Amino acid sequence: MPTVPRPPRLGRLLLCLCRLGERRDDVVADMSELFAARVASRGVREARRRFTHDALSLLLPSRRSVTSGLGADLRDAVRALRRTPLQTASLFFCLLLGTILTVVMFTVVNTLFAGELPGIRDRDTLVRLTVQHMTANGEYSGDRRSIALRHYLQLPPTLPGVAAIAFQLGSSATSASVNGTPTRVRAQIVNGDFFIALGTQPAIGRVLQRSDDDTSSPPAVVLGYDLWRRSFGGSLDSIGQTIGMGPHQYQIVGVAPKGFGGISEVPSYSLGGGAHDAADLWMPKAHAAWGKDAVVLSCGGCAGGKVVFRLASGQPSRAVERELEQRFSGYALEPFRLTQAGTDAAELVGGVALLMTVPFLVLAMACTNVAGVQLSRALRRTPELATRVALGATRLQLTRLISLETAVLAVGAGFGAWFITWQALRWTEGLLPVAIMADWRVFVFALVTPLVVTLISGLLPSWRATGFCVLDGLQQGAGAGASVRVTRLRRTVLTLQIALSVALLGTSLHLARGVAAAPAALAPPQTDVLTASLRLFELGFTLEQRTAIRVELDRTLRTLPGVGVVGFGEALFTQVNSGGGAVAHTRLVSDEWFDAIGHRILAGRLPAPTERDAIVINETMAAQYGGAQAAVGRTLKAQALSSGDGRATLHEATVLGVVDDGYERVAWGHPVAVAYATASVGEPVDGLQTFFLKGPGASMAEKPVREVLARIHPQLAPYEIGTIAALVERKFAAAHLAVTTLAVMSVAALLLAAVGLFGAMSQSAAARMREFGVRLALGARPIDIGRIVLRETAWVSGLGLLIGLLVSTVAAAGIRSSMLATASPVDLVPAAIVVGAVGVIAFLAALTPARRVMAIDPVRSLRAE
Amino acid sequence: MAPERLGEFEEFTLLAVRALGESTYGVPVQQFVEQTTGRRASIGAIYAALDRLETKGFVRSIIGEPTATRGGKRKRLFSVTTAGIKTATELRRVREQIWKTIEEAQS
Repeated sequence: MPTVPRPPRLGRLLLCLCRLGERRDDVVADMSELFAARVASRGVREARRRFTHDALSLLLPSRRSVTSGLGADLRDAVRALRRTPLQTASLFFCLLLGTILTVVMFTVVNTLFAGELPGIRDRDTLVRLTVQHMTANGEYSGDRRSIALRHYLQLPPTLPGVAAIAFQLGSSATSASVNGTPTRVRAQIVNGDFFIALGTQPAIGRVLQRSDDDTSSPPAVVLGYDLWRRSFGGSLDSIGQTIGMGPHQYQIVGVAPKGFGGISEVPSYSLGGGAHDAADLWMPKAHAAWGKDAVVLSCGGCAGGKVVFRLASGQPSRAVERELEQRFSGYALEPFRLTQAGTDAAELVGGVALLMTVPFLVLAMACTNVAGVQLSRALRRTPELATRVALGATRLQLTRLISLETAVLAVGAGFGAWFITWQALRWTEGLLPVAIMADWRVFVFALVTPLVVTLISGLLPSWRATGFCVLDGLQQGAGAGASVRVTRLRRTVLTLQIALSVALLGTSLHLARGVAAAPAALAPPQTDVLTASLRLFELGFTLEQRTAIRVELDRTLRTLPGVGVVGFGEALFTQVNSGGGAVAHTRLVSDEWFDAIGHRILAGRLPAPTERDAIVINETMAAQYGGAQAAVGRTLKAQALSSGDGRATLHEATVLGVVDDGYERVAWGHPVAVAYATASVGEPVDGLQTFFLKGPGASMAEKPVREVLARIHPQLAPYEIGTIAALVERKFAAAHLAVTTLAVMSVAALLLAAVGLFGAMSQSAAARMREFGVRLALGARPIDIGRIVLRETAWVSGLGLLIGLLVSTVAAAGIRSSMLATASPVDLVPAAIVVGAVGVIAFLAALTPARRVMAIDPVRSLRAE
Repeated sequence: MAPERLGEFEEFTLLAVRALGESTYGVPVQQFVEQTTGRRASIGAIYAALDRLETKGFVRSIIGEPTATRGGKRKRLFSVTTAGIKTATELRRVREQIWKTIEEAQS
């Protein structure tokens, strides 16, 4: 009996996959009739081939090819994304969040470590002169970049092949009268060609010229942009006005461009830790010989500076090398690699890597979210993809087809991140301590990041999803069988995501609590004690004038309203040495000093004003003698406890008492050994003067104190002023910024983990609908089904929580031992907060899928399969 | 509202339904198009074209009675609507006019 020809298996499978609805019966009948007709007219082989082709045309009704080109694939990807707008929006949000954080952090790092230096043109043609210094032993050592003034003066005004020479003699903090107000400024002493060599264009006015560096010319000064805005409100009328510094009145000839910091190796910004790090003004060296700088400039040219050559061409000529060889031994011309961070980028690779690690981790979390969803989507398309493979598509083409969806999202997120960063920088212009710039590197980074994202979250899951056997793929119903693989993979990824976010959040909370507790640990938060430090020696006052000023201040400050106690102390440049190896800084203090600061006496007593051979030491110094009690009564063989002019000499002193560190920790930022000797207000003044005002009105006394100082001398501005609490807070400004940044990243990571958890639980629940239907049909209650979903969520989040808490605990222990000795050794609060946050997120992520499965109609769910 | 336009393949399909008379279905239409045009036409393409024509209002379909020849399966029967006839006639008139112009130009 002859066998009746049957349509091919592949064609029948394709026909089964077609979504024909109620038309299925008549279409199948048409196909069978057509097949029979073709067998009769064209033979079995042709009929079978045409049957498969017809089935495919029904499955893919559009005119697209099974192995279409890139453009068609791109259209498919966009259509697929538009079909699931909610899912697409959540994926885009994940990628955008991760990319923004990465791009913003890269922008900051790029600006500080690799970006252009504001106001310095063509860095490629700048070279820095370095000289090796010979020590007494005949060996070269020391800072090669520091060029002594006498070396610079050996250079001729012009060198062959060198367009101009810039010389900067360090910087000097001093007081000045700016726009009628005493102001602390950091002045940089430079040569006349300084700005011309660097190619600096002024914001307004002009830069210094060679003629300005001549003693016969009137003293001129170029203001820094920030000082100009701060003291003159950015007024154009500031040009031509004068600034009083020392005995000179300097005429303002111009304003440097925004962000210009000269060629100093200090950062061009300040976060509050070190006041006035960045330069405020530039003055020619011909007019800087007064006050402390007079000593510096007259010490035989020993002062160190920096020399930078602007080459006429890219490379130094042989003639320049010959000139330098004649003058310096061991000279070198190094490329000019200065960055806004203040030092060479090569030395900061570790710091940059650390800064970029956390945002990259957050981006990686976003990628895993996208990868998980894309893998699920790709696995649901297995039958369609198998069909394409059966008709000639390669695995690479299928991978491209699927990963294009991720690429579209990633490119959108990259452009979005760049645009948002660019806009945010425009909005925050002037609010940040440094001018952050989104240059071409940022744009390229924002473009490259999507490629990396696509590689991670697009190509890998696509490649994995297309690794199937064709017939298995065709026989598999849409989505069936995929859930097991997806669930296992996504569960692992989710656990890692939650662990990472918990670790970040836990660590940032530990840090935040440590930083919050650190000021109180450093010093009691005293808001009723105002401290004002003065450097009277900078203004060229004589010893008698300095003493008279202190007497006047002591008298006047006591009259301020709300001020009860006024103490003063004078930090000397010398140190006391007990002879036994212990070294301490010294401070001559008034008898009210201890009361004004609120020092606690730990042992012994305070000396009376008349007891001149007695000293008090602090607890850090006492620790070197075995503790407070053991230190009292010791006689210290001090080598020197005197000022430079030989007064207050004290060769032997007895320790009368021991006080706590108190203010010294604030002043130095860490525990320092200090010895105190008493002095009266009328004694000669030499060192750094610090006044303490204690009383209910002390916190409001800053302005009156400034006014008192201005009345005494128009240039007299405090070196540092503020309540002790405010000074302590200022020291931790950088730490607060770092902790805030980490906290933002941690919250973003937790948000991404929440989105991932919700997506995974929803997909897991959807994949188990049939199972839940069977359970309900067999008598399970809806609440039991809901509990399954909740239990699965709790298992995944609980495991991630456990791993994350372990990591954050280890990280916190490291922080405690290295950075924040003040943090509590056992701090359960961060762990409690993290557990609470993850608990809420897990519950919310499981709530919707659980409610959905609880509302399943068992009949419908079984019929749907 | 702009008049619905017909693509080339849709036009062939519409004319095939018209040529095959009332109550034709997918298989004869596919065979007719292949025979008259000499081009391969998949059944999927024929169904897609018929669906589009129905959406545009040029054909209508009804589900026929079950027949013994197809194992008791029903057929989906198509017929051309008045709008379909009018559009096909209009297309023919335009084409003839163009050809007439071409012939006049050549003579």
